[in-house]
Amino acid sequence: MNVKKPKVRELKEAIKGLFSKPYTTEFPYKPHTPPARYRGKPEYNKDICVGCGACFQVCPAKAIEMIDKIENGSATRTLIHHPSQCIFCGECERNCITGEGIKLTTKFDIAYFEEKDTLNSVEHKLITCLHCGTVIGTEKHLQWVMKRLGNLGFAQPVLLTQLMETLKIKTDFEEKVVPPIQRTDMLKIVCPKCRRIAFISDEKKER
Amino acid sequence: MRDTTVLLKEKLGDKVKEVKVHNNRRIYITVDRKDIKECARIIFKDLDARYIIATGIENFDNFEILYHFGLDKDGVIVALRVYLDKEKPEVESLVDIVPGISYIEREMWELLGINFTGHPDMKHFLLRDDWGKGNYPLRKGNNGE
Amino acid sequence: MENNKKKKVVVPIGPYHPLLEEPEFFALYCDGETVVDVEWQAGYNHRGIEKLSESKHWDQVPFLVERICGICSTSHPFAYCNAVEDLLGIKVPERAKYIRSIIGELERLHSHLLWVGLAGHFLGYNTVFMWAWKYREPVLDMFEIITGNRNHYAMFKIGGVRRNIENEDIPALRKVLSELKGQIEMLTGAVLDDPVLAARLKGVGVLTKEHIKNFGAVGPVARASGVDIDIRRDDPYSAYPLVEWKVITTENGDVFDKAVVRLLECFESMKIISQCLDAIEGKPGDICAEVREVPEGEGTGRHEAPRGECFHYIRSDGANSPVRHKIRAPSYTNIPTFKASCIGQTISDVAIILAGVDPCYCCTERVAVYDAEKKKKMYDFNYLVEKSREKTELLKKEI
Repeated sequence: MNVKKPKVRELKEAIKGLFSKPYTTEFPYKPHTPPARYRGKPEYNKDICVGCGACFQVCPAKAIEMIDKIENGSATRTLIHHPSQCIFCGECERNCITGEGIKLTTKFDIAYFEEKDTLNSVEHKLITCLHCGTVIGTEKHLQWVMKRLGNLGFAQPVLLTQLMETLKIKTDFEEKVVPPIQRTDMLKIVCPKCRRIAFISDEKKER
Repeated sequence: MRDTTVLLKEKLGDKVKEVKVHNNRRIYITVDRKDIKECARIIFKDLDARYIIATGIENFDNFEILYHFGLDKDGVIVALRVYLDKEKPEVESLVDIVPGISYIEREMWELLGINFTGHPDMKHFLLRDDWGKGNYPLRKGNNGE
Repeated sequence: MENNKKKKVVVPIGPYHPLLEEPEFFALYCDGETVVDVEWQAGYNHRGIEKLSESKHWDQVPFLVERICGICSTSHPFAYCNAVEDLLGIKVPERAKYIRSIIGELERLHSHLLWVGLAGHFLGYNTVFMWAWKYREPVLDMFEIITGNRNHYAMFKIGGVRRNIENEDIPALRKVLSELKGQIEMLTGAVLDDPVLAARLKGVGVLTKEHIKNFGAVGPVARASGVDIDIRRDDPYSAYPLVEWKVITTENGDVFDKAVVRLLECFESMKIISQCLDAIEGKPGDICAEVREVPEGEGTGRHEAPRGECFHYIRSDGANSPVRHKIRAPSYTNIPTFKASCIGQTISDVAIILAGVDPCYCCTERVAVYDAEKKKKMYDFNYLVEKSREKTELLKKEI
């Protein structure tokens, strides 16, 4: 009868199963190391991140929050990553313009009591237009762009001033630009809209 | 390998209003709303196609339903497109021809508000039984209130 | 119909079921022990994914549709990427084709092993359940090594794949496959030779070719009834036309045949994976074609998921998000066949017939049998599973 033969091969498997150790690991009693390319919790690298906000724009789960705060003459941009919303897809890492600004670690044990203990954030100085106050970009982002453009960057006044900042050449563009703005103000830090006004405004108007 | 576009044009004859051949495996045929039952019968029974699904779309000035059928021997998907009136979208139900189409017609009715005349058992499928009338979630203006 | 409802007993199965992880509702109308009609009510897990899709960018949609299902997690991004690539008319690089097929077939392996385990559990063969899920673990570990996660692999992108398979991971994958081959052979032999299983499953829940055509059923459910459809062969895409494999069909359409089709498909999957690995090992190449924008148009894409044909339709108007994204999971057309396969069967077979369809969108845990006239609860689902196991015991004693 056929019933006996199958029992033999299943018996072999049963004996093997009896004497081998369980397939599961003993986490949390023993630590567990995931494989090298495991998609765990993302973390910012404060030195490399330039604060461009690309990770914030591509996140499918909207787990990254970008807050631009402008008050009393200083402007900062903060990027905060919320692991509770994160789906660990890796889009932030893939789209980071520097390649290493935010990377997925292999951390998987991220349960918490207080959410603020797990938030991972990075803060950058923002450059704003001295005439109208709109945000142009972070200082590090503009310097990164200037470095990549090389000689072509000299055509843009904002990038030029950023280059001078990195070379520690003193600039005296700290004062606010008072309207009506003139063509000479174009070299001062102004946004495209204000620069357009400066280019076509009447130079003869008194300050 | 037979040319499916030629075959379809032959079988459907003058009911065809427009044919769009996207590539050699995807054909979209526009027919009139009155002829849809006859065209579906020709494709499902005479050409022995397989029913895949039906899609309901809301456009700016009309509603559109696409009935997808698969001709598996050729690996072709034929979609029959009908345009419906924006104010009062209504079309004949195809349940007599394809019994399995009953569920997607119920779904299109409750999510988009398209009326299928002659459907034997039109009641809620995905939404709650006491979902309010006139509230169609998949319509463009509806943002989930 | 009205008369039937008054006199017969109604068995509602729903909405939570231990068979799988998602809720659905079935009402079985029974006359004594025999089922005379079935009604299906879905929607307990309706998450509005088609509407959500209209607010995500083209490259964010794969992550959304991946989470439609945990078991056939890669089928939906695969079909979606096929749809958008059909709209664009672009060709995917060759290495990306092989990687996509490897992921798709590994997923078929783990899904069929999961099904074998659950079917065994419902018949009372808990050992089959434990072993099948144990053999599934190395496959999931391989997924973790290649893609970074056991489920929701995040591998697909319009134009190719997102991550590469490194050469150092390939030997481990080959080892897993060779061990798995022997283990699945043992499981297949156990199923085919066991007379109790044959008596329990043969002739149960039969679906004829006409039922399959009327409901539009696809996948192993259709192939078990002799309908020879397989998207990988009929509408070739990715690496399937580049490797050798065959389509498994059987003739009878009962639950036994469905089990046979699924087990034999595992061997074909392993064949495809090892041919794909041979094609990419040591040969570098591009993994993604560049896609800058999606112009106006419409596209249709599909993939042979473990449960059948997964179909996606996309319409674009040139903007950043789809205008309409229609998704049809294979279980949408497979579950209504329950209406046809359950009529005339006994209550003790209902659990295994439902399992035979391998529904990916249903799960009913709390089954209650109500006496329609007295409106009193008579049995619950555990009772039905017990009845199913009792029948198996009875058959074992007879043989």
